[in-house]
Amino acid sequence: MPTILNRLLKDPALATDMTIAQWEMCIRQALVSNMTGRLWYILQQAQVTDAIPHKVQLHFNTAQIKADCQSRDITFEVQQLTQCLAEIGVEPVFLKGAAYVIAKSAHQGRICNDIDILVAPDKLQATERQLGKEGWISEDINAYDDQYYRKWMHELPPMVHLNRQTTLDVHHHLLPKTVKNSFNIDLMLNAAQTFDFVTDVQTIRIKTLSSVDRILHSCCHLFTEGNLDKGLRDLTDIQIMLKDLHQKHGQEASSLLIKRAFELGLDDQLMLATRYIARLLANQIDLSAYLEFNWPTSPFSSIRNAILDWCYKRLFIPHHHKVKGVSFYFADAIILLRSHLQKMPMRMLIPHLGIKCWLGVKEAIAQK
Amino acid sequence: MSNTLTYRCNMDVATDWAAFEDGVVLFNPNNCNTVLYHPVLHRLKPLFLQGQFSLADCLDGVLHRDTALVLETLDSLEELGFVQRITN
Amino acid sequence: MSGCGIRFKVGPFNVQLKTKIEPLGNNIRQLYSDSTLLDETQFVDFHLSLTQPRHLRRFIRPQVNFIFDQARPFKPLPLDQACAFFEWGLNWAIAQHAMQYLIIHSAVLEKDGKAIILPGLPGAGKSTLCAALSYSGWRLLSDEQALICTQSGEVFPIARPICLKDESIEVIKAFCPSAEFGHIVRGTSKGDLAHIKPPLDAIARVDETAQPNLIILPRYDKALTDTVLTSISRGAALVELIPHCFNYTTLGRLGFTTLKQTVQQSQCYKIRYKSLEQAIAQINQLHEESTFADDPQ
Repeated sequence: MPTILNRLLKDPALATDMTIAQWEMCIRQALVSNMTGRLWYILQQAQVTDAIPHKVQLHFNTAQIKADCQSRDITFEVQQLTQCLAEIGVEPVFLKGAAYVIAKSAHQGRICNDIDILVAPDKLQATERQLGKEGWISEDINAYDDQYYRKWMHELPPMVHLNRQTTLDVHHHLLPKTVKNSFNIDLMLNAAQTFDFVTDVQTIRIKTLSSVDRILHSCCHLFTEGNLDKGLRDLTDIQIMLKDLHQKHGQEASSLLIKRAFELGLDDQLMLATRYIARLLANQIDLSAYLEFNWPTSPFSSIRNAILDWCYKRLFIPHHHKVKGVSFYFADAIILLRSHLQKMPMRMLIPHLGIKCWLGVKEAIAQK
Repeated sequence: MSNTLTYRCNMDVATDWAAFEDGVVLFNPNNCNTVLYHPVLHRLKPLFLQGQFSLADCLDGVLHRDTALVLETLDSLEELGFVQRITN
Repeated sequence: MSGCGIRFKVGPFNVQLKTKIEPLGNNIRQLYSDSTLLDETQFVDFHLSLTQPRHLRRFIRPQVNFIFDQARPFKPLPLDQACAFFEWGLNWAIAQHAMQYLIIHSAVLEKDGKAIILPGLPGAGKSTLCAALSYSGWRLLSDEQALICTQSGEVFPIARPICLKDESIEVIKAFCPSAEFGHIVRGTSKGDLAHIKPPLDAIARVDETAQPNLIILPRYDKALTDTVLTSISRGAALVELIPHCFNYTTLGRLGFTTLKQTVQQSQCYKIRYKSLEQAIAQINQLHEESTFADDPQ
């Protein structure tokens, strides 16, 4: 039996016929999935909120107020960052949550933990220096992690603003350097979209990835990620962005997206995202163009897809202790291993995990 | 400071003027919920609403009493982004 | 109180608590014994548990964890602070998940439908004054959190146990002999800790809201000879109250307008006191004056 949150996402009309005990569990599940605000948006779209008991609505209202607060904070930070980097001629491209707020697509009821920007690889050092002057400092991490980030990762170690405590991830690519044959990031930088932010004083030009690239980045992130505790929420992000793209481009949307996915080598992730949106979420747009598309296959495709289906079915649930069964942990381990192997070859992975494990043990001993 | 110093008022419809018997509390929700309380603010409000004003206008507005308070208020307003200097 | 825990009403919230720590369970059961127990058909807002970490350290320096559903928002505390940890954890849960209220860190009491809000930083003597007032003709609405409804501006009672520290334990024992104390824990890293049970009347009328009427910032000062009462302007009080709010920034404009309304309908004072009797007499007088001024009869 699917969890109450999964059932509600698949069929929001169920909200009109839920017991108090089911609502209680639903709120708990939504909270651990970091998607109470998003669920509220989905229920509002489905026009079923009148049936929700008052005490439950209060939790949804709280989530809405928190999401609104975050939108305000992000809007402020985005302007600060854009102006700060304009001084050295760098135009940051905002990614993920911050981009959704700027583009007003998939920002509904969403809470994120940090701000992500993308800068051209040759501007990375200057960016880090300039951010340092404005009060952004690297989080305290050990020397191995720091070196690992700089040598192999697609981003700098996370930075935190001294006064505002906001966390910032500065990317120079969307995939780690350890990924073989990944796309040229200039393709995304050159396609970036500009939004004009009119404030009382001036107009600020703010950049995000293009609407198509935002979808593909989200797919890429979700299906190379080892930890799916916010997976359901991320899946709804992609669904909302897809809907917006289809509303804007009509019939051409799917061919635009599929063509771009092949160009960037992210076709497999797009295939998986649309596959699970169709299976797990309520119908919003016609996905047949994706589901019936002739995706490239290999001799192992069908067995691979069967394994992934088995795993993702168990992971796209609220990661709440009341609903995680034994097979959840098994699926979790498989996807975690897959995520590591996608990012680095085995000859790098084993020493890396060995060192991480040793440092973990050392820290645990130091704490005793 | 020269009396010809000119300011532009950045307060828009989002700014809340909470008037009390002893002064005004300004609230700017766009700017991380900045709040400023000042006893002479309510006497300057008509000037601010013109959009642009000079230091001389402000001092006239309070009949050249409380000069120090006016200067202090303008400094705070500037620091919190409610007004902006446009000439120097 | 092991397996399924207890579900009980705490003001406008429904709480479930699970713990296997026997002294804590007994203490909570005593302090909340007048609260309404809930069954499975009622919606629980917060699922809390207090557990002991399993590692070896529990034999040397026993600790306690506060768990919100399955999250652990705080580092563990020494086991002897378990009861206080439950109260602090519940404060946190409310401040994080009840945006229908502007929440001010303050004590609130009520008389004649009018509320007095006593904001105060730790150590300002807010809880002592609150306990004394709640046994001097005032109804306890809250010791720690003023829940001001962002829609109606009313204060919602929550009537939880009052936490007392160090000397104030003896002061209140002497001042309110009828007050029922929970377990008193001596010599914790935060000093001596005790909770007193909310008066029965506070629990019985926990759904009766009140309108803010007086805001008084208290400060206990043992060097004083006389109580010093100072009137402060509403504008200054508004700005002064902001740092005492738990969720002002999250609420954005709603936080500002709610606070503005609260201040506009209240008279605002600072009080520095040494003697509880004098402070209470002053507060009673302010209450009578303001009630009289509002009432044309």
